[in-house]
Amino acid sequence: MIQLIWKAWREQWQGFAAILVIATLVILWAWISIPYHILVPNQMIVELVMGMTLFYSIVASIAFAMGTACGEREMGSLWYTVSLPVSTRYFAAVRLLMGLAMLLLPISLFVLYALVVVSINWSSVTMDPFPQEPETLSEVQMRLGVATMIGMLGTSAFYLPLCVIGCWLRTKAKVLFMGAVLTLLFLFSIFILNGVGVTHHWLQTGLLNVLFPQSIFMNDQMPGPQLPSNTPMAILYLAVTLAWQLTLGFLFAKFYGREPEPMAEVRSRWWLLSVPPVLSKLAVPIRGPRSAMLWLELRQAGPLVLFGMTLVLMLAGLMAMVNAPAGQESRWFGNLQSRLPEITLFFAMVWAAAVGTSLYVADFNRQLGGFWRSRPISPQGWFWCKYVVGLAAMLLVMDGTALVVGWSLISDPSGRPTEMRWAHFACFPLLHALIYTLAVLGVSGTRRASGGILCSFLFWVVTLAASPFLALRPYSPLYIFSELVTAERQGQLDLVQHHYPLVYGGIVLAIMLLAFGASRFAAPLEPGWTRLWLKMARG
Amino acid sequence: MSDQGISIQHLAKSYGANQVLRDVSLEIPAGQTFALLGRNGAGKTTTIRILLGLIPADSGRVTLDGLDPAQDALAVRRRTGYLAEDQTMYPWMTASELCRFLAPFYPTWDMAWAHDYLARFEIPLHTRIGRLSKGQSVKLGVAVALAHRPPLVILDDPAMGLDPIARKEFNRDLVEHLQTSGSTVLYSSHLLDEVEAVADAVAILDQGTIVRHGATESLRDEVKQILLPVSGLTARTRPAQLLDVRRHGDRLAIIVDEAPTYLRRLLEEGIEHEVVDLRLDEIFEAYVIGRTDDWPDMPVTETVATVN
Repeated sequence: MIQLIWKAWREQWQGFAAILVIATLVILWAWISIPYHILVPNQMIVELVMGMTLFYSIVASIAFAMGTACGEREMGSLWYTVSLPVSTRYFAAVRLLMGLAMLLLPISLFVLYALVVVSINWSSVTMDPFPQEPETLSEVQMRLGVATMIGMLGTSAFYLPLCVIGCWLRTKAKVLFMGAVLTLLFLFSIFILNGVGVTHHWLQTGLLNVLFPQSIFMNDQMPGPQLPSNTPMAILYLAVTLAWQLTLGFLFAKFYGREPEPMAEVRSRWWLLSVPPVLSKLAVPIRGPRSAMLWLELRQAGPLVLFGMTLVLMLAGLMAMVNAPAGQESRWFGNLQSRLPEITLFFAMVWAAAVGTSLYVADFNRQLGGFWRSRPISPQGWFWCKYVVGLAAMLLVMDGTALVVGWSLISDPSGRPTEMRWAHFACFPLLHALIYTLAVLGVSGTRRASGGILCSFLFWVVTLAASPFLALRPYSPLYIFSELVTAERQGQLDLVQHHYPLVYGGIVLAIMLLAFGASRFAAPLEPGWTRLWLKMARG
Repeated sequence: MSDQGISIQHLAKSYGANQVLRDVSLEIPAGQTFALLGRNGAGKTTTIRILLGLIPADSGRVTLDGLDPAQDALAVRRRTGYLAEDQTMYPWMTASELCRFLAPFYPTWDMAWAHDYLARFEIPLHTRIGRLSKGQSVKLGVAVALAHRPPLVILDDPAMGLDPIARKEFNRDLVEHLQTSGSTVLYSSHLLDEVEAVADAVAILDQGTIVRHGATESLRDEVKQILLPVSGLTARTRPAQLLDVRRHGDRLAIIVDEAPTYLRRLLEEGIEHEVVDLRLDEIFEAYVIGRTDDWPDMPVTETVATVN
C-alpha cells in the first residue's frame, strides 16, 4: 500500500508542486495588490478564490486525469505494473485516489491562504475608498466555503469521468479532447441553470446537478456562487453524486490497463459505430509536397473542428429547446438561429485551446515524431502548415458559421431578438487566434498536452489577475469588447474608440510573436527547453 | 547507385556531462552493407540521428553521398530510406493513404514498387495503420522506406519486436534484396547472428567510441579464441590485443585481436595452443564485456628462467 502511494506520488508530485506554487503566487499577488484594487479587499480575494478554483477544477482535473489514466501506458510501464503481484484493481484505486487527493489538497490550502489574508486585512475594509456593500467576516468565510465546495466538487466531476474514459481512449491527447468536450457540457449546464425566466424539469436539474455537482451552488438564477436555497434537495443531490462518483471509481479500477480487443471481435459487433476509411478509397490526387502537407493537416484539423461545431450545434439546439423564452417554445429553429452565433463564439474560446493542443501533441510523440522528421519534410514547413491550416479551419468553421448565421440577425435588428453585434466579430476571432496560438506555444515548448492547456489558460489568468486594477481595466480585451457592444447598442460602433486599435493590434502582434516563438520551439527533434537547460548546465 | 557512400569523421556529441559519441570515424563505401553494433546506450541511434540531420553534432563532419546533413538535411533524407526501431506511423491513415502522402516528398518514388511491396507483405491497403499488427507495421515501414529506391538505407534495429521467424524472413528478404540492388546499407542491430549473415563490414561502438571496425570476414580471421596452458605463460607472452581471459583449471581461454601475429609468436616460443573460430556475437561480447584480469601475473625474471 505504502509503496503504491509512494509510486503515485513520485509520478505526479511535479504537477502538485506546480499547483501549490501557482496558488501561493496568486495569493501573494492578491495581498500585494490590495492597495490598488477596485473592490473591497475581502471581496476581491473571495472573487479571486472563486475564479481560480473554477479554472483550477477544469484545467488541473484534465491535466491530472491524462496522467492518471494514460500516463503509464504512454510511458510504457503499464504492462510491467500489471505484471506485479498486486491486484490491478487495487493498484488502479490507489492511483485514482492519490491523484484526487493531490488535486483537492491545493484547493484547501488555497482557501486557507485566502482566509488568513482576509483575516489579517479585515480592518482595511473601512479604509477602502470605494466601499461596495462590505460583508461581515462570517459572510466572507461562508462564501469562501462555497468556493471550496465548488472547486472540490467540480474537480471530482471532471477528474473521475475523464479517468474512466481514458481507460478506453489510451492516449493523453484524446483525454484532453474529451476534457474540452466535458468543459463545454459543463458551460452548457451553467447556461441552462442560469437561464432567466426558464422553468426547469426536476429531472433535468437533477441530472445536471449530479453530473456537475458544482452547479448545486451556482443556480437559483443569481449571479455568482450561492448556498443552495433548498438544503434537503442539495443533500440528496450530493448523495446521488457521491454514489455516481463511487461508481466511476469502481469502473476505473475495473477497466484500468485493459487490453485492446482483437479487431475481429470489434468488427463482429455491428452495433458499434465505426467510421470506415472511406477517404482511403477515394484516392484524392496529391501533387507536390505542399499539397501533401495541406492534405495531412486538413485530415487532422478538419475532424477536430467539425466535431467541435457539431457539439456546439447540439448544445445550441438543446438550449434553444429547453431555454426558449416564454411564448416562443414552438419556434425552435428560430431560437437556435438567434442563439447559435453567440454560443459558437464563446465556446470557441475553449475549443481553440483543444484544437491547438490536439493538432500538435500527437506529432511530438517520440515515435511518430521520429517517423515524419526522418522523411524529407521541413520542420518549419510542417509547423506553419499545421498552424495556418488549424487556425484557418477553426476560424472558418466556427467563426465563419457564427458570422453567416449572425449576419442576418445583426443586419435586421427588427427581426428576432439577439445579443449579437458586429463587435463580436471585431473581437472574438482575434481572441480565438490568440488562445489557439498560446496552446500551440505551450505544447511546442513542453511537448506535452498539459503544457498546451496550461499555456492557453494564460489569457484567462492574466485577464483575471488584471481585473481588480481600475487603471488596467480599459485595456482588458473583454472589457473593450463589452464597451464596444454597449456603444453599438446605442448605434455608435467605432473601432477606433475604447483602445481597440491599441489592444487588439497588440493581440495581433502577440499572435505573430508567439507563433514565431512556437515555431522555434517545435522545429528541433529535441525540445528547446531541454537544449536551453543543457546550455545552462554547461555554464 | 551512388559511388560515395557514408563518411563519418571525428564525430562527437554530448548531452550535458554525458558524452554519447567520442571521436567516431567510419567510412562506408557505396554498395556496402555495414552493421553498427553496440549495446543499448552505446550511441548507435545518436549516430543515425546525426546522419539524418535530426540532431546536430557537437563536432566532426558527416557526409552521405557527398551531402552534409547539417547543411542539407532534406536532400539527405530524399536519398535515404530509413526504418527506425519501434517506428510509429500516422495511426489514422491507411497504407494506401500513407503511400500517397509520402510520394510527393520523394522525386524517385515508385508507386508500383510500393504497391508491389505491400502486396508481397500482405498488408491490407485500406485498413487503418493503428489496426495493423506489429509485424505488418514493420513491413509497412519497410515498404515506405524503400519505395523511392533509395541509394542509402539506414535500418535502426528494425526487426526488434518481431518473432524469430519474421526476423529471419525480414533479413533474408530485405537485406539480401538491398544488397542485390546495390544500395549502401547501414544496419544497426542487437541480433548479431542475423547481422553476421548479411553484413559486409561491422563496427563495434562501445560507450561512444568505435572500438573495432573492419570487414566481417577479416574480423573473424583476426579475432580468435586461443586455448593455452597456464604453466607456459609469462607476462611477456601477454598479447598486445588481449580482449578476454577465462581460466579453466590449468588452461586459459583467451580472445585476442590480431590473432595471426600472436599465433606466430606462440609458435616461435613453442607454446602449445589450440585456436577456436568465433562467431560475431562472441567477438562483440569480447570487445564489450571482455575482462583481462585473469591473465597470470608472473614476474618476468622467473618466467624467463622457466622458459630457458
